Amino acid sequence: MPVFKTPFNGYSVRFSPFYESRLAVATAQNFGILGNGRVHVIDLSPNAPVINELIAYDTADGVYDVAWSESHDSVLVAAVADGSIKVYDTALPPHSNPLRSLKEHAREVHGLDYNPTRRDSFLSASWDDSVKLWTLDRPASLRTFREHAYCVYSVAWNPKHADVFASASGDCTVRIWDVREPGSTMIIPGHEHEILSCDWNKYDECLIASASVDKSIKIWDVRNYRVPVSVLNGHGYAVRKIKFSPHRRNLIVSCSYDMTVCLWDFMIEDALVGRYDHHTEFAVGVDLSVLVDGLMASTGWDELVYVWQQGMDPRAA
Amino acid sequence: MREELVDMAVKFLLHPTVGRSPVSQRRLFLEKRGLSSEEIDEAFRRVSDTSSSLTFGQDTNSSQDVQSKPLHSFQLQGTAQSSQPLVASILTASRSSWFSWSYAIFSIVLLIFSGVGTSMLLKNFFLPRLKSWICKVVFEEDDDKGRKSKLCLSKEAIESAKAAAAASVNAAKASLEILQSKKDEGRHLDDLLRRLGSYVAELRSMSITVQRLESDRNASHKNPEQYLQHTSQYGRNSNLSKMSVVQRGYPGPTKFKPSSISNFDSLVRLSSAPPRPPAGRYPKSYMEVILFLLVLAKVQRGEKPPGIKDTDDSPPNPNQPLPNPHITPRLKPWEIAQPQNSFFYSRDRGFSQPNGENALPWWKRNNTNIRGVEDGKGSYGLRTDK
Repeated sequence: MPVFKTPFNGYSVRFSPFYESRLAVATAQNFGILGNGRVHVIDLSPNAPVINELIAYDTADGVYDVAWSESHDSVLVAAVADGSIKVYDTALPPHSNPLRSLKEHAREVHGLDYNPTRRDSFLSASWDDSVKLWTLDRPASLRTFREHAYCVYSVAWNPKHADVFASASGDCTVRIWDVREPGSTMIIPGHEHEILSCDWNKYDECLIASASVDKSIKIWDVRNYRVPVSVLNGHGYAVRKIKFSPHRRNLIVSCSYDMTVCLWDFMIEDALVGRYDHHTEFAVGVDLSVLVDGLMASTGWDELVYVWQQGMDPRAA
Repeated sequence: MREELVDMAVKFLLHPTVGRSPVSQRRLFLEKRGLSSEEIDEAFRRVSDTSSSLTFGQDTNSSQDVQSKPLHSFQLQGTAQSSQPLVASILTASRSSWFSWSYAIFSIVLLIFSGVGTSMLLKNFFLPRLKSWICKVVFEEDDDKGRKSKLCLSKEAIESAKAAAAASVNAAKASLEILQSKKDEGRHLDDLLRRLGSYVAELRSMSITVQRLESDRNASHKNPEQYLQHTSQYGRNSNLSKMSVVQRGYPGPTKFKPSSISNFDSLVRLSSAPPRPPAGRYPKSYMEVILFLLVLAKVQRGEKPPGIKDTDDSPPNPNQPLPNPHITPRLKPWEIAQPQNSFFYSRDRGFSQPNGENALPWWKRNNTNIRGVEDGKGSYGLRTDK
């Protein structure tokens, strides 16, 4: 399985929704504390397990997250630590990039999510406690959602309802919002510690998972959010990112500061179905491909990006 | 009043070595020998009668210096010199021992061996490792004055610890030889016992200091109060220390909102984590942790880590129109209202010929594990890398 080495510490990896073999990687220098950032667009070579870099974009500050546009196959957006969101177009020559720089957040932008159903808008989650809604054609944000009491780490659109999204915050809550409503529609006080990531189940629009610093992942049904449907324990440290599988109803992938990437099936008794410990530093980014079932990618502070098929060893030749 | 005891006490007090020790110590010694306070007073009275008042005045004046002398004599530089008066005092003594030989020899030998053993352990095992580790760390970083001086400091400390260990070994050996010359005495034996005991204690504290020096190197760039209390508690575990730094260090305007990184209590368990595959991966991880700490430290001091370029990442043409999409978006798997098995897998699990056009790219091959979800755990066919 191929490996891609980035010059900076990896922060996020995302598969393209248009090209099976294309990924974007967000990296930041000096572990994201201070320094430049770089967005890599990489391509998997079909014949050999090799990863080639198509293009890389440098930024003045670290890049914490990246998301592909669902409407334009060559456009991606990057969340930069100086509070701006950069829009890149890989079809344009490098000197014409970035396309846009959307600077509204007062603090670091930590999470991005592009709407997969309506495909026209995206959300940004920032450490200034707010979530902003954007479209590519407008230079200013459409809405600002400011209710969280602490950094918002992650935001996720509902896969079925195009107006509903969830945000995970350091104030230990997950909030569910509707863009048509002024405020949040539901507050899930899911954990006793900061919640670093959240994601919706792609096949059941009422199930949402949250991953927290308390090393657990909890699955909630929004119709009855007092008690979690399932609690997934097994990580040794804070869980940094989770993702529901786009192909399997009950499969979740998670990456954690314990340097492992884990696969879970929350409907069975022994939920942990796979564990990959290929990273030698914090594993901070993980993604599952929407186009290829079982293809997954992860990145970490060890400056490596692994792409492998579920069931294979990511470090195998 | 036992005359012979008083006589011996007088001779003891008249001895020049004893004259250098404080009066309270002399009294204590005599009390330990079983003299009553009247006998001790009688002995002191007789001694004051026989010697000149000037000598006594000198003795009392110098008693303060002498009192501090046993403590300072164990400084790193002074170990060799302190063995001299010890040798001299034992050689010039001419008193009979007040202890049984076997007890004295046994305890002395025990102390010497433990002192020698500790110093040898330090010298042969711990210090070279520490030194090479520190050298390795330094070679990975850029040149920095502060760090260099700290390295010199730690190197000096290591050298002096080595010298101290060697000196203490020599001193211990000398003491052993002297004992075997059969000129031992009770009061000198007691003194010797005390000194050797403090040699061993000093060696132990030296090893702790060197250890702490090393953890201090990691901590030196950080808020010392907060950080040291954690590292000293949990020792030199670098992942641990990295997370604790991030946890505590940065309120407000800096990059890391602290507690997002990890719960500090859980970090203790890293040191007792289950055994992990190839040990070769750990040094790299520790190296990255050290780099991480150094970066944090630099930022905290207001310095910029090296390698940061002034990048202009503003859009060259803010009015650049958006491209036209080339590809129509595909439906998501969950939007296709069909069971998963039929649609996707019949399409992707091509019957690939070995060298034909329909050969699957590597990221679709070996996908034989795909089954229906109802199969349960076996359907995933995943390898757990443990």
